[in-house]
Amino acid sequence: MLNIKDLYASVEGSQILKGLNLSVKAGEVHAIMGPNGSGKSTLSKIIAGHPQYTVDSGTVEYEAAGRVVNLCELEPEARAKEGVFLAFQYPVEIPGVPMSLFLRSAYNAVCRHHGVEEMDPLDFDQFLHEKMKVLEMDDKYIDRAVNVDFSGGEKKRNEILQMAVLNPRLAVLDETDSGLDIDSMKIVAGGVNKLRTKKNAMIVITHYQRLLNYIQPDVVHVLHAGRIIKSGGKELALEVEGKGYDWLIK
Amino acid sequence: MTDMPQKTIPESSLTGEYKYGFSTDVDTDTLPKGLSEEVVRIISQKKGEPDFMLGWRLNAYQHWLRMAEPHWPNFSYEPIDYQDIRYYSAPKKRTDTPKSLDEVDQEVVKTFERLGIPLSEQKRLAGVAVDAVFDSVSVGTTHQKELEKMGIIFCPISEAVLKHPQLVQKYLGSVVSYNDNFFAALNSAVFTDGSFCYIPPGVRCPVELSTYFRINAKETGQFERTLLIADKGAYVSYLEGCTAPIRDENQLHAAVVELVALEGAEIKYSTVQNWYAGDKDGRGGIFNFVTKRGKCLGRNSKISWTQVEAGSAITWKYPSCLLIGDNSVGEFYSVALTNNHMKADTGTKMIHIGKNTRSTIVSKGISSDYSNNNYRGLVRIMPGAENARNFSQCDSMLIGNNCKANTFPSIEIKNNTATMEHEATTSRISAEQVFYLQSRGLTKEEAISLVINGFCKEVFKTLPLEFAVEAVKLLEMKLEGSVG
Amino acid sequence: MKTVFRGTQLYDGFKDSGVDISALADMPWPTFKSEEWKYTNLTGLGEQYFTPVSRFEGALPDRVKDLFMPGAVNFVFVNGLFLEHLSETGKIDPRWQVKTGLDAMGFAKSSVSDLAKNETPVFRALNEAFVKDAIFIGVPQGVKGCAPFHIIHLLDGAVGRQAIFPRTFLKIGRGAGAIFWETVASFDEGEYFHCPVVEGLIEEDASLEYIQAQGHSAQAFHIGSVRIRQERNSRLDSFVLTTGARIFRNNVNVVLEGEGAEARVNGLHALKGDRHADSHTCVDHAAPNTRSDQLYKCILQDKAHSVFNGKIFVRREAQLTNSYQLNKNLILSRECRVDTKPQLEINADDVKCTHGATIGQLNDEELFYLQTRGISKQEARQMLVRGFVDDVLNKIVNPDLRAVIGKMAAF
Repeated sequence: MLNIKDLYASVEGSQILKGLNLSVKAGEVHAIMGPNGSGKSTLSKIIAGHPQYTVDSGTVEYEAAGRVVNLCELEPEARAKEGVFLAFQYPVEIPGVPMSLFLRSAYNAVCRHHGVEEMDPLDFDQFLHEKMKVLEMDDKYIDRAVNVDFSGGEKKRNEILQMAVLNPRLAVLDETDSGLDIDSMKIVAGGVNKLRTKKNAMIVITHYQRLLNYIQPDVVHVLHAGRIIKSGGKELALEVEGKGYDWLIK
Repeated sequence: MTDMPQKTIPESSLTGEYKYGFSTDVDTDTLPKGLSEEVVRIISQKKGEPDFMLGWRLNAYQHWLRMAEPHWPNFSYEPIDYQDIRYYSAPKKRTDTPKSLDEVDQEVVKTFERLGIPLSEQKRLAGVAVDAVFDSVSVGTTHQKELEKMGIIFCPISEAVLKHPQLVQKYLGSVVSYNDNFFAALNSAVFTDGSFCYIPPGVRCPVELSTYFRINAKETGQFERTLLIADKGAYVSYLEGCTAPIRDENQLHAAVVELVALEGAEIKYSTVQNWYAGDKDGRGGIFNFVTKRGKCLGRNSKISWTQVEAGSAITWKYPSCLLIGDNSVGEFYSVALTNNHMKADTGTKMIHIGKNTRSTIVSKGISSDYSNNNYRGLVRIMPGAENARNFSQCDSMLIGNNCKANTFPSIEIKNNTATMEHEATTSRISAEQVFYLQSRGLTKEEAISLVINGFCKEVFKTLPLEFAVEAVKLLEMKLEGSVG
Repeated sequence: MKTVFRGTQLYDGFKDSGVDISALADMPWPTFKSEEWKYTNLTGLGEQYFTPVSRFEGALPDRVKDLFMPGAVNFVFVNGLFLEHLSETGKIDPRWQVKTGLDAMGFAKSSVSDLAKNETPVFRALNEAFVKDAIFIGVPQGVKGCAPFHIIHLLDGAVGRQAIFPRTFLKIGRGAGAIFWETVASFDEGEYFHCPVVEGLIEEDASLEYIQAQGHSAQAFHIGSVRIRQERNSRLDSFVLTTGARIFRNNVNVVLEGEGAEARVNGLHALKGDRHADSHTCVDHAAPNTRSDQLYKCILQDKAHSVFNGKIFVRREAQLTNSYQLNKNLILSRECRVDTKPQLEINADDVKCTHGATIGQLNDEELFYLQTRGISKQEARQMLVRGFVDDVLNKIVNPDLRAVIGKMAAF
């Protein structure tokens, strides 16, 4: 589904990713670990198309509806419509814009793209209600402004709610576990696991192994200095947790 | 929560250009440039006015001669040459008094159709009675017959002067006197038309009343005057829209609006102002110097101003409320958008005189490009205004780093039972917000419009629905291409 | 029509003193038509005849000692004249530079002084023309933790209608820290005109806690200004307490010139009788990443009149500014008057600025609640007033100073 080839990418003039290769198939969950500054968040921003991050060389091939596109050539919203989703590490506050309107607008934008009929506000509220129940989110969030006055944990749950609503083919979770207490993490992980199918794929970016106890990865990668230096099964995560990164960085 | 109309992908016609910029070729009856006592007499004569009106105009003119043009602290403009303006321009009529639209120049009727304001009885807008003002005169008023049956008078003010002189004489200048300020004095001397409306006691006006102002002629000033009276227990919702052709020189618009609400009456006055604002370099555009004031004269009366100010090179406008009757309520909801080189200085005055008077101010300023957007307000609680309450919120949003947003609220309290709260914030549309929304599938334009609508929703929800939709579209069109 | 200084009685008084002030004659004399002076009418001041102070003759009340702050370095000025024999010059940290008189002016000119842009020129010029004993205090690089420096300005009205022009310069060197405190006190109901100018420079990484306690006679005229410039990563905590005067006007201007500079500009008006107090603040964010926080509280009784005019000014280059301002007013009697004008002038787009103002009375529900718990109405009122005042007093960092100010502001 996703094929990143020899990717070099920069932010504000300094190169962060230096020859990254990554291949993700439908149905797989990949975990990406790595020390601070290794390029984890840069990778997520590149996949989602953040305007401040530039691809210097290499490609991000994404296969959708039987054809392969280079994601780098698409606007962020076009990527979202093709089923690419990023759960932000720092979700953005948007004062004045109610959650319900935001989610409905996004959902209907994707519907239109796929030629599916849009959902009217009443049906959408019902649909949203179901999704929120899974994440144990109170209905009162529907009327609040996007992420404004949300606690850290609420913001992260809100990211997963958006994922549930938009039902992406490829989801990138950027440190979704950071700042979560254990109960919230279980709820978030439970939400994520419900969305896991044979047809979609996920990339879970994390600092810690503990999230991977709840979201079991098929492959674990260690990122360092802009490239993947080691890949393995889920036992690699435990090894990193125990020994740190130094033994990998020669 | 408010349901903003579901946004669809922006139509390609919304190019960000001013789409009302066309002008109309009509035969006009125009006075030569310049202002003198003679000009004031001619205007009065053309209108066939009674003596009291001429006397009032001449008084105003004499005062105006002695007054100095005000200068604003926050921006300057080229001095206005008052002798270089035409004070009267009217499309020629086929007969002296048009009995029906057929007698009005068809080009003028077509102009209003192009602006989305059909005047003929077959095509007229349902639910809205329109008085269409073209340069100096009213060219047609719809729904008049139905309104008459309920005792509602809705007609050009020039007609009211002739048909209802007692009402005009009683109320004209009772809220904004002929010597109130420089531009009000000028308006009082030379105003040519505008709307007049009287709602009799206990009547709820069943349709929205609306005036559409169109400046067409070159080098012409527009000086309209609107007078609205809601008698005891009456209710009226009034809408005002404005456009003008694209012209390189600045044109002066100095209107006066007076509202009077008697006991238990309510007036809702909404404006969507989209005068031509000048080009990208700040050339041309309307100078919009307007005096708008309402008097809550009776107990339990209410006046509510809503404005969406999106046009004009310079706007100077403070729709205000004099809260005289006990328990009266004043409201001001405003969205002022400036882009390119526009300058807006707008706000309100809430003068609390009666007991238990309440006022609410919600002002949203959006500035982009090189524009300058100011909120200037005054809340004054007089000694007799026991238990007066005010709440003010003035928020600014900046788009880009060459624009300015200023907030100047004055609060004067002379009664210790007053309670007032003022809040103001400044924020911006950040590239992060736009990216976040884009990453959820919205286009950049949709993302911006969502944020702007969120920012303005408290004001938009006070507008009648059709106006709210128009206002949203207008802001989107103006802001296209603003966020980098 | 413009009013100029020459047209006032005040001008005559100064002219008669023999100093050549012809250069000041045509300076504008502010009227209520000027936005800056809309709520403070100077007509009364213009009609006064004051003589610039030349020397001090009366006997000094013993009570001046009561104003001394234990643990501080106390300096005494009477009517703007330095009294060395009463001042604790021996307690000054030897590393500090403290100069008075002409020396001070010389030092200041070369280091901190610059003309404040939005001061009313005539008062500034008067101070320049008539200042007698200025004081310069320089804290050298890296020096901190010294005792607070306390200047007592005693205003003696018994000498007859005098005009007093104190001048203070503060310079806090790189990485240094200091607490500086000025007490203004008048022991009688004398009529005088007090027109001080304070200028300060806080260099990189330095910090200053600056406190003014203004306790004037009810017949006094006070027109003062404080202007402080801040370099990179410097910090200011300022506080002005006033109990008002016949006319009291104080301008506090802070310019955040260096990236990362932070200013807290706080104040309290505690006004009774027919006293008046007008505080103008302006925080000028001239560099990126600067922060400011202002809280001004005003409590009024009888026929008092309070004016607050606060301005947050964000320049185009001052991105990522974070600025907050709040003015709260508590009115306790019918005839008080409050005018407040919190202003924002924003020229940069990536900033967070918030301001607010509230005006209210004591909450009846709260009073009632306290009464139902057995507290007398009088006591309950005092508790609530204290509660109102306390959160601004708590902005004073130094606990000793907080206690002293708390006592002065007792209502």
